[in-house]
Amino acid sequence: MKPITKSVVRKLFKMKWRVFAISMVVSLAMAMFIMGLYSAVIFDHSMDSFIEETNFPDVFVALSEPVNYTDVDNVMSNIEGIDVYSLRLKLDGHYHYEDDTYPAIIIGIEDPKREDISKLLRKDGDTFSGRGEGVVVSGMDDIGAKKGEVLSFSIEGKPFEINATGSVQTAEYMFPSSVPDSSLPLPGQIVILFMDLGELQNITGFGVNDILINVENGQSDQVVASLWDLPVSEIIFQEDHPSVVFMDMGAGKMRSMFPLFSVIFMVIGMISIFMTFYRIVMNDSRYIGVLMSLGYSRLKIAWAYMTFGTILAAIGSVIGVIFSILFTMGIMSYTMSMIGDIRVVYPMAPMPFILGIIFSFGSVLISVGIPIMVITRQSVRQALDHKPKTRILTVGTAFSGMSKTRLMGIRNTFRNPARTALTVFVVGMSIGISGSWIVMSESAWGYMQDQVDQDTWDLRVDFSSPISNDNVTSMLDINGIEYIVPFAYLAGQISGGGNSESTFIVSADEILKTRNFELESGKLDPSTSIITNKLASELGVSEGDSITITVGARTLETTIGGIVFDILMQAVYVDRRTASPLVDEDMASGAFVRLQDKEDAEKVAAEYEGLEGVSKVTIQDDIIAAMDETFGSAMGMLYFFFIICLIIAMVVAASAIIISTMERDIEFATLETLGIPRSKVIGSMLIEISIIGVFSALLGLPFAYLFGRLFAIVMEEILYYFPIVFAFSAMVITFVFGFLFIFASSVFPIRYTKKMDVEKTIRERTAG
Amino acid sequence: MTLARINKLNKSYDTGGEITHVLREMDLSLNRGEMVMIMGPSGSGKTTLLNLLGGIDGPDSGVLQVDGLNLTELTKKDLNKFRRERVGFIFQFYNLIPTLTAIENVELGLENLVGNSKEMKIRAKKYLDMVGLSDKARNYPQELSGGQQQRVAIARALSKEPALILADEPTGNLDEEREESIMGIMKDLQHELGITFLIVSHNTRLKKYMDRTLVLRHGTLHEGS
Ligand SMILES: Nc1ncnc2c1ncn2[C@@H]1O[C@H](COP(=O)(O)OP(=O)(O)OP(=O)(O)O)[C@@H](O)[C@H]1O
Ligand SMILES: [Mg+2]
Repeated sequence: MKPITKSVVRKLFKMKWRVFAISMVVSLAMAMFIMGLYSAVIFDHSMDSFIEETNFPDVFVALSEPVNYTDVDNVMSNIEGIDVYSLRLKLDGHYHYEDDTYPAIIIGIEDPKREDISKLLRKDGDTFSGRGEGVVVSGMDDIGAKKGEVLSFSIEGKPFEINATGSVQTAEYMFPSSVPDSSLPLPGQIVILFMDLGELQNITGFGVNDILINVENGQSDQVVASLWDLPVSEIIFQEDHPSVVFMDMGAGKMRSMFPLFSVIFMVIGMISIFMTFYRIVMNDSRYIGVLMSLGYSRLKIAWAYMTFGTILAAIGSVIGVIFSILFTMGIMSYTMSMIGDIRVVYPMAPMPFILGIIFSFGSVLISVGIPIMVITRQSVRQALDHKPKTRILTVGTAFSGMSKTRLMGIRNTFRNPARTALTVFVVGMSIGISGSWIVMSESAWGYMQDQVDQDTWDLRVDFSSPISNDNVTSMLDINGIEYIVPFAYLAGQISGGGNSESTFIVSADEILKTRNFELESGKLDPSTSIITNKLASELGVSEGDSITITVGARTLETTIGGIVFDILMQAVYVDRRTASPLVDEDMASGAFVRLQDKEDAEKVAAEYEGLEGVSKVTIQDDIIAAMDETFGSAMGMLYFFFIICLIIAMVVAASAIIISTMERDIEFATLETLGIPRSKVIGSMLIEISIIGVFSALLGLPFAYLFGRLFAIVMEEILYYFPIVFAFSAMVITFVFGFLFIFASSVFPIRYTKKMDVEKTIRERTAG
Repeated sequence: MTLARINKLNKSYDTGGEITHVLREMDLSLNRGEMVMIMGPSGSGKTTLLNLLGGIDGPDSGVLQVDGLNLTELTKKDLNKFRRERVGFIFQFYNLIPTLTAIENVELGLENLVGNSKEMKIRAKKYLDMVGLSDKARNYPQELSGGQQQRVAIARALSKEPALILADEPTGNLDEEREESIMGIMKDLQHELGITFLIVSHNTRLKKYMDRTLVLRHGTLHEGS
């Protein structure tokens, strides 16, 4: 090794902690970058392989009414271009468990072992073989839908029991937790049962009403065109299937969200790497001048420092790759468990890693190269004379009575104002990114809470069979009740704007009393219809458009009177008269009840549950709690990011602080020789760090808000809208944690001064 | 009355397997209120000796006593206290704190030593005056010349009025006139307060102020020149 390279490399080994800190900055920025890119690849890949593995159908056909099996089979077997098809009977029904009733989808299939189309992946237990057996889509264990249980179902009031032989996964119902009224995969409970087709036909007397088709290459259109002999109600192509759409959304989220973060981390990484190297090289200016006076060429000097940078980038990359794998695994297992229990497939995708490594080498080498260029462009004399610019701000002269060590701490902070400003900026930005997660979570949470709070009722009572409105009132009327609003609750389809969506229809005469609707457009007129904004945007309809609501064989034609904000529900609100084509105006399927004292909810609920004809009583607060839980787990991810970003902020701060401590080692040694107590020396460092911490954390607040908004815009594109609000608690959390993490980074300089060899340090100065 | 006693003191440095024996079985005894100069060739171990007496470095073996304390037996914390209360260093390269003004640098040495901040200020001012820098009290080190900085460093050590002053080339950057005045101040302090001075220098002009002059050669001290 050439002497010049040697000297630079030796320098590196002397820096231990500093090297570690710089490498950490490099590697964390890189890890976030890789994680973003790689997660999207994994997500896509896992989904694709799941779809492929299960032979996900190309076309889903629903018939408007069940048709005789042989008739359908005859039509199907004569259509050209079909590879395979499967005829099924798919019905909505109910699942009964411990006095509760849940929605169920009951599907009769011919052969549960069939693999060439919509293969059922066994998750637990066996497939069904005989009569009275079936398998459920996994994930509903908590309501008893699992292997070995005898499950009670009913279709149109006809009860039957099924022995669950096992649970399965299917791409068709990848998110069995998603409920039709929610645009998010909330753990709303729905049971999906696969059972023998013949048996289901026996129970219901129906034929088949559902066809899955895999077409030969590119023949979808012809095949679909040939289906006209059948009473087709809906045709869904693979790419429009909810599972695929949701998966695409998920992958899109990863693809657009994470790289966005990584860009911000790249900026932070670049600035802090640049700051670090600029200082290292500038401090070496005199030495570089000596080399130049000895006749070393610019290139040779630059090369030596590049070696130095390369070693750092290499260390950073190795740690970075490890971090990125860990981060990615963490985020994937989290995401996958959130959106369904899919096996994560880690593909060999070198691209994200290559880009990540290029990023880290690029930013380090640029950060080293620029200061080298600045110095070597000077004349030898200038380089020799170069003093790291220190302009001392005469702050603190006002407190002349102050302890001198404390004064040192304050003055050190402002010793080089530009540098401090840059440190505060970078650290503040890192804190801001951390804070943005909290801002987002608090905003989304608050919005969610507002939405939930729109309901004014305390209890919702569902009846086992419809009861006349008059009887509802007399039945439920007890002391301490503010209102009882009987309603009819239906599940159906809404079509409009050329699209069709599942929806709930809530019909009540005093519907406006039960909920504080917040209008997006139009007016609150339940004599036409009020629909939620989520539904309106899915359909692509607006106020005044006509819509058709279908429940079973009944339909209602009406117009949209108003569109209301709702984060979750896909629902239509109408009054009883308007809904009369769908459901008997005088009969209620349930009632909303508001109590004078909310505290009585539990007690009244228990009382209602004892009444004959009441199937279920829901307490509003329980819904809120369930929602909080779901949302809480989603927020867990945001908090994970919060902590990661804080760690990055801490590393950035630590690396800046370590460097300024090392630059001043002689001062700390002098304090030792003067016999200044350690506690005072530490105190002086803590003051400096506290000042930086306070300023950075303060600066972090507007950044948090800004980044929060930026991320929310991205979120809106891919998921749903929520407004970013200025949440005081988010600001407090950001400030406090931001400050604490920065403050915690003081262990590094304290450790450093503690380990410092006073005698050697002073001697080194003598040597200089 | 002895202030410092060194007996069979050994100090060596290990630089990657190669051992340099700097001090070998060294003996030295300093009387209270004595002014002693140590001369010797470069690299003979003069600075090393000062560092040992000041408790910022430890010997390999031997007795090292200052002001009744066995330095080898003191904890880090006690050594710190020892330096604060009983020793003043004047470094060859001043080692002033760049973020503190001249007077603040002097006050820094007085903290936890002199009662309140007012007394501290009065004392610091007095010594700055003594070294002729009263008009530069509010200047930062980088605004001072080399000689001025050296005088601030001297004032910082002297103002502590410690039992022992350890000075490494204290007049290296001063002209003859200044040298005379500084040495005069030291002499006064020696007599008035009974401070003991151990001064390392190559400068033979200083000999005339000394009670004794020792030469460090081959790891031990010898009388005379
Ligand atoms: N930390 C150390 N590691 C290794 N060797 C050291 C160390 N400190 C001092 N030495 C060696 O100890 C010897 C004495 O050094 P010291 O600084 O005490 O000399 P000095 O008499 O003060 O010289 P000068 O008059 O040039 O200042 C030298 O040979 C030096 O190389
Ligand atoms: Mg020396």
